[in-house]
Amino acid sequence: MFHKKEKIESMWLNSAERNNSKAKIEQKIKKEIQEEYRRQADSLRKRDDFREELEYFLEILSLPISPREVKKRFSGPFVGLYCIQAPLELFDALGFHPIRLCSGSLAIQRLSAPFLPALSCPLIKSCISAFYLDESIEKLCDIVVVPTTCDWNTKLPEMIPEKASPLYIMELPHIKESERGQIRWLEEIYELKRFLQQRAGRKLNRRQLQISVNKYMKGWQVFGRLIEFRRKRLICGTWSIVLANAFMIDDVESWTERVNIVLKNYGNPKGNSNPGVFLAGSPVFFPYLKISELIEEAGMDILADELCTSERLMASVVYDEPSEYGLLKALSERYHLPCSCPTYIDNDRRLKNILNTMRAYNIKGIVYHLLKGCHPYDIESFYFEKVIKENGFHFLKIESDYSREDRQNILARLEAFRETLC
Amino acid sequence: MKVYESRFLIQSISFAVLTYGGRLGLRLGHWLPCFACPYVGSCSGHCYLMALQRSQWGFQIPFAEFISVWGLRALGMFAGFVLLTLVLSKAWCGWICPFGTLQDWIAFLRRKLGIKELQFSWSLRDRLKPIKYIFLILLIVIPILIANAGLHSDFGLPFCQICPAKKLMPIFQGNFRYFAVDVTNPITVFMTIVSLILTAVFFVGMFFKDRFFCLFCPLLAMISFFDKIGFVRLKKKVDACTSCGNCQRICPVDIREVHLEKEKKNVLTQDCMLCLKCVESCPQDGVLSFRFLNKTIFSSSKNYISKCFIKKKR
Repeated sequence: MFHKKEKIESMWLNSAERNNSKAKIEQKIKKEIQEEYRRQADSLRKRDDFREELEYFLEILSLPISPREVKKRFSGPFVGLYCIQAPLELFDALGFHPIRLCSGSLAIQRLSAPFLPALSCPLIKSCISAFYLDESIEKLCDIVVVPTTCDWNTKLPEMIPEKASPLYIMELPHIKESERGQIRWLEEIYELKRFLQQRAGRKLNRRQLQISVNKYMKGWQVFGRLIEFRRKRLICGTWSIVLANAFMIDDVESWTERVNIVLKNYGNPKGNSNPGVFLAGSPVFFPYLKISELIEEAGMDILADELCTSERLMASVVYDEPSEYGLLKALSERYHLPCSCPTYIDNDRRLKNILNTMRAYNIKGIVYHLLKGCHPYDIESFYFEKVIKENGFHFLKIESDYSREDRQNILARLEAFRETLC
Repeated sequence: MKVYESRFLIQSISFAVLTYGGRLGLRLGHWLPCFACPYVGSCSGHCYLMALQRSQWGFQIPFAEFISVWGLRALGMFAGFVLLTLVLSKAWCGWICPFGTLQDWIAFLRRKLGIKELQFSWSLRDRLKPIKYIFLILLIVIPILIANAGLHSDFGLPFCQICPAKKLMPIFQGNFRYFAVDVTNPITVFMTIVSLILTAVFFVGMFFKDRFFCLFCPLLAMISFFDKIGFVRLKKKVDACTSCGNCQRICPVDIREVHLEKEKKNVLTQDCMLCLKCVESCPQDGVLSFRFLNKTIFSSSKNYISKCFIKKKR
């Protein structure tokens, strides 16, 4: 199932950079990655709406380039997560620190480029590459949990090196609103619980789980306020995405506290009347903030989004059965039913929700961001365009990857799109 | 005051009034759309199901007398029941019914002990639905047969005879008499044994499953006939629902329609008892709302959830 490590190394050495030694190249790439993260963080710091309180989140988002810092900052053991379907509360209750292994780094992609299909999802390319670094968050993790959402995730075990962190696959039922789908996913949650108990060497305590659920509910509460701020243009789209991105790495309690501080001190209405847009489509993760930055540069405000790295991250868990079964059922449903990833089959509510939000906040257009190679979103975009336009809204599809070359091109298209909204 | 707190308060007051109010001379009539059991000596009102089975205001009457003073009396009683039902609809079940309250208290105990609730599959849950109509038909047909076809009169008040409330509610008055097997004749022996078995099943059932008896309640079936014309509505803004499933999971009687509905705006369904837990647990602002005569009394919101379901201290 897995590639042999030697085979991969030989492929790697046979690639374009065969003349340099492996260590040297890796060193070079590392520097490039650090430079990439630094450049993005600096460009955010230079913005007019930067405040000191936001520095914390930039620090958190820069952690992937210094895994040792991660170890110092948080108490392990660490669990790496792909996508947003594994229940964070369960990890927390058993003493694990969950980290979402998203990556928006372009520089890192060179490490895995030789043995991935040419048109690979950039996010997966970057994530897989991190396994080839001698030091990365991915390697810090005791377990990496992969739900079978899109094809890229399903094939992930074959793409990463053999001796990387042990993978734990969760089979995701792609029909949510059926009894068998819900039962199936609950079984997966139970199985994950058993696996984690074994790893942690202790049993799950339901009181502890209740405490963890409460912690994340507090996070949800403050996240709801952040979204409200954003809708009222008190905080811009890019910063909202940065804050949400940081949630995926940070400890939930300190994240909640820090966002609260931001919301307390932030909040000068900008007073301008830029047209608002809705950002939909493929995930956006630091340092790949090109799309949101360009939308703002073109003179539009992202009042709402439905990205799995931003507004779709959190949902509420309400339960009235405090038995272990009751809690796990609540968690299984919270991470399954409201998720509107395009890999689900019964996903008709997603579009309705988007249209509803657009109407409620007088948003006239939707920017549909598409990462090249992100098939589920790509397939869906055509139907989306049709329905969105039928409902009298404007639609712009932007297909891109992590490279910087197309910035001018995208900016020109966005500026033209802005004209249609005015 | 939070909805579940006011509900608990109203339920407790109703329980006290309907169970002990008779001692204070309170008489609320024989038309109550809830299980205010007439076998509790100190009760202040009677469950309409009993009136329905009796000869005085119900169906145990020869056909010839249907159009007579009797008919008017029965119609008057029915009109009283309908009026009360139209005003409060299922809120009678979720907020007033003393037997429902008793079930909630027993289920509360289970929750405190952290015991898992009994789970029914979707298909089993659907198959249970018609049973309440069977009870309803039987409790009308048997009295008619007694009065017209010579069925033994010991089958009289058939539903009351087997109703677990008849056994359980008088306990609150210190009366255990109805647990005895009536050995008058084979019919009474049969009926009391059936009732004892049913009481045992329902008593265990209501510990392991929320509102277990309500899944079979014929009075609920009668109340639900008037859902469409009643003053009360449970509305859903279908476009804004994110399908989080909170309402489906938290519903004591496992109603799925509130969650799964994508077209219809009214989600007051047959088994709903308006406990409003779904509205409380919905995190989308205004997606679910409880309306009385087109006026929104309570609607779902993020803030409500933050207030009710998040503990401030660890």
